[in-house]
Formats: sequence, structure tokens, C-alpha cells
Amino acid sequence: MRRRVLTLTAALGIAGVAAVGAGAGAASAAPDAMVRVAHFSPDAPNVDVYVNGTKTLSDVAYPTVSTYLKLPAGQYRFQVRPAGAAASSKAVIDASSRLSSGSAVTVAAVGALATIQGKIYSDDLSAPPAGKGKIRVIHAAPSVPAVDVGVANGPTLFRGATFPSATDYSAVAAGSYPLQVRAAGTRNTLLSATQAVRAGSIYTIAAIGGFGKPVRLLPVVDAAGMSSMPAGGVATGAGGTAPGSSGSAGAGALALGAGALLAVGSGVVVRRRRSGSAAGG
Amino acid sequence: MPRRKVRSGGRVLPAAGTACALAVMLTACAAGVGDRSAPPAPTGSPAASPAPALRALPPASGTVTARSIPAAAEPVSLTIPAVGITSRLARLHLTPGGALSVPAAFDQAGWYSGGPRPGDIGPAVLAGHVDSTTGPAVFYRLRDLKPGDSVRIRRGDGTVAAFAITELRQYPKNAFPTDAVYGPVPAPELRLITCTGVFDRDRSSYRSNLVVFATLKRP
Repeated sequence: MRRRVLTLTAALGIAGVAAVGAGAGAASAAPDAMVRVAHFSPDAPNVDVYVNGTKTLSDVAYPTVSTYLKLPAGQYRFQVRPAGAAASSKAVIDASSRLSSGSAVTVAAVGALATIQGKIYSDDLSAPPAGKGKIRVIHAAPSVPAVDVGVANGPTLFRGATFPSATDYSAVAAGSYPLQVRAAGTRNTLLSATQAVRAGSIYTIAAIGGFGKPVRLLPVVDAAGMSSMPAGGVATGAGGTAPGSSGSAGAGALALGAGALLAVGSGVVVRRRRSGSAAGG
Repeated sequence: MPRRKVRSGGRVLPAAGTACALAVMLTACAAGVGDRSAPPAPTGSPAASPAPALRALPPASGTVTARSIPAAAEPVSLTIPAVGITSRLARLHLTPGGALSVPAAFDQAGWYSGGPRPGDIGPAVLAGHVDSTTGPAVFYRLRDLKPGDSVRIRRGDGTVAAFAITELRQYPKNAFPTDAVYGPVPAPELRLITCTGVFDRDRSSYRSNLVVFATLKRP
């Protein structure tokens, strides 16, 4: 399997850094959107990816899934050209999307070269329920008909997934799953793979290939978290530097001053699912 | 068990890198993906993949546990040169009430062992006291950090993961944004947590937490 290490940098990287640089200010209240790029077109050559007219990834080979780039929410245009083609040349894929704050998407080149198209899949990176992970399937193998995906001798997780669609995410208990990709509505297993699911983590399993490339499953870790997230605040102070303490009144005043300079984040963070009660201490 | 060593200069692509590691788990189905079950090529396609060739592996390779995803070694110590913080790391866990436990020692930071290890994908969580009852503690100077400052985590196998601070945030404990701090993320990240804000003497507790966000440095 070909190993590709790519990062979204160049001009858009600078935009990302600028957003981080403004981190403590009110202007950065809204979380960025996240976008990554996937090359799933099996017989297409390497490609360059342009975002809002700027070449952001170069010479991307099949099958690649890039890291996520953080971008301010807004309207974006994604264009794909054969690697090395002039920026002024006609793009083989030209897709636009409005990326909302806190959202994540995968911009994918899918299909055989003759019918290549851009797809923008929504990636749900929100935390799974405690003790569970989340998986979904992207059907990106143009020569493969509709499929069901299930656990061998177990439940069917996804039914009737068709090229070039993505299923919703399904929360499953942490563990190791012998997955089967079956022709939809049959027991005819086309592909199988063992998928490890860690609690708190989120996975995409892409069915890829055809047109001269092996048809197979490509597992991708979308995001990772933890089995059980701590509840509420953390009790990490005893007050010895707080004003009026026997420790250091001066230091306490310093603490308050520093606090005032920090962004008060609670009001501006989205994706909050629950808030625990304050811990003592 | 495979173990990924991420040095400070190491850059591992979360998606493709891990995908490669996981790809070895793929096994050909016993039922075969050959002529009997191969999907028909759509009309007009040039003899598309009549027999997808999946690499067969011994059964043992197909039996994996969730933990066998490449993992960094456990963290053992922390250094933040910009503010002179150095500490070995205690192991933290959840209290019976579900809160994050805190280091027993005021001069020692801790790592939440129920979460990702520093350098693995996900938010690795470190916590330390801002003060004791008598004076500053290990994370007293966390407040002085700035975006771009470096945090170095040494792991049990001798490797070091270097992180760059991206932002500092203050949150009231009674409105702590659990998902923003502890929720899944697509890359290796770090959270450094201590107390800040007003000290509530009735409850012997600071009313807010300071959370420092950092990401694994790129080469």
C-alpha cells in the first residue's frame, strides 16, 4: 500500500495560523471549520488541489486522505487538476461549499477518470456515547454495486450503501469487528476486514478501487477521543496564591489580571453536549 | 503489538498513516472475491476489476484488539521551557463522581490515563495545581504561556513528543465545555489544565479553570 504523508499548507496554512493567532480575542469566538481531501478515483492520475484558487495540495496520488485543515467558516471553492496542470486550465472537478463553524468535511474525488466527480461528505466528529466508537462507510468503488455492511455472524450496520455515497455514522461498542461488505440484500460477501474500534474514536471505512486497482477497504481514523470524558471542572488549586490568603496576595492579584486577559470561553464554544457541575478545590 | 514512535520531528498523517497500519488487518474473504462474487462491471466500463486481489493474511493477523492501534508509550515527564516548568507525571483517573482526579502532590502534574497518550491522535489531558494552601504550585505559571510556546513530553520509551501551544482559555467550572476540551480531534493534541479566576473561600475552590490547548509540532 502506498503511504502518503501530506499536510494542507501553503496559503491556506497561513490562514489557519492567522486564525490561531487571534485565539485569545473575541474575533476567534467561532471555531473553525475543518476540511480534508481524498483521492478515491482509481484510474485518475495524481492531482493538484486548489482551494479558493490557491494550490493547496500538490501531486496527490490515489488513494490518499489528507490531514484536516482548519479554515474560518465561509464559502469555499475546491478545484482538482491533473498534477502539474496550469492553474488557468480547466479543472476536472470544481465544487463549492459553505463550511459552517465547527463542521468537518471530506472533499473527495471519486469515480473512474472518465466520469470523475467531486463529492463533499460531512464528517461528524462529535463524541460518541461513553464506551462507544463511531464508524461509517463511504462507498467509493465505482464498479461495485450497492452493498450492505455488517459484522460476521452479527448485526448488519449499514444497508444499501451505493456509490458514491457515505452512510451516517453508527455508534458501536469498543472492540474488534470482523466486517463483511455484502452485495445489498444478499449473503454474498464481496470484501471483509477486521476493524478495531476504540471507545471515543471515529472511523471512516472507504470501499475503494476498481478500474485496474484492487477493490478493498481503506480504514481511516477520522478523530480520536477517550472512552469516558471527565465531568465538570478540575480541582487544581488550594487558594494559597489567591488574594487574602496567607500565601501571596500579590500573586493572587496577578492571577486575576491574567484571567481577565483571557477569553472567557464558555459562552463561545459550540458542540457543547453537556456541562458537568463544578468540582471542589 | 506495533508501537509508533513519534519523535518531536516526526509527522504522522492521522488518516493515511493510521490507515496504512490498519490495512494489514485486511483479509481476503474466504468466500472469495473472484468470479463468483465479483460485482459485475457496469456497462461500458473497460473490464473493471474482474477479480479484486486482496492480500490474504494468516488468521492471527486478522485478530486484533482495539488497543493494537499504534500507540505512543505512556508519558513520564513534562517540560515547558518558556516558564521553567518541569515535572514527572502522575497517573490521573476519574473520581467516583466522574470528575478528573488531581495529582496528590502540589509540585507534580498528572496525565489522565483514561484518555489518549501524548502523541497519539486525540486530546491528551494533563492537569496540575496552580497553588497549594501556602503558595504557587507546579502549574502556577501556565498563565504566562503564549501561543507558539513549546511543551515537551517524554515517554516511557525515551521518545519525546513536542507540542506547540495554540491558545489559552478560561472556563467557569460550572459551565465547563466538556466536548471542546475532551472531545474527539483528528490529530495529536494536548490539554494542560489548572485553576484560575476567583477563589471561593466557602468552597475552597477556584471558580474557573485555565485550559491551554496545544498541537503536536510538525517537522
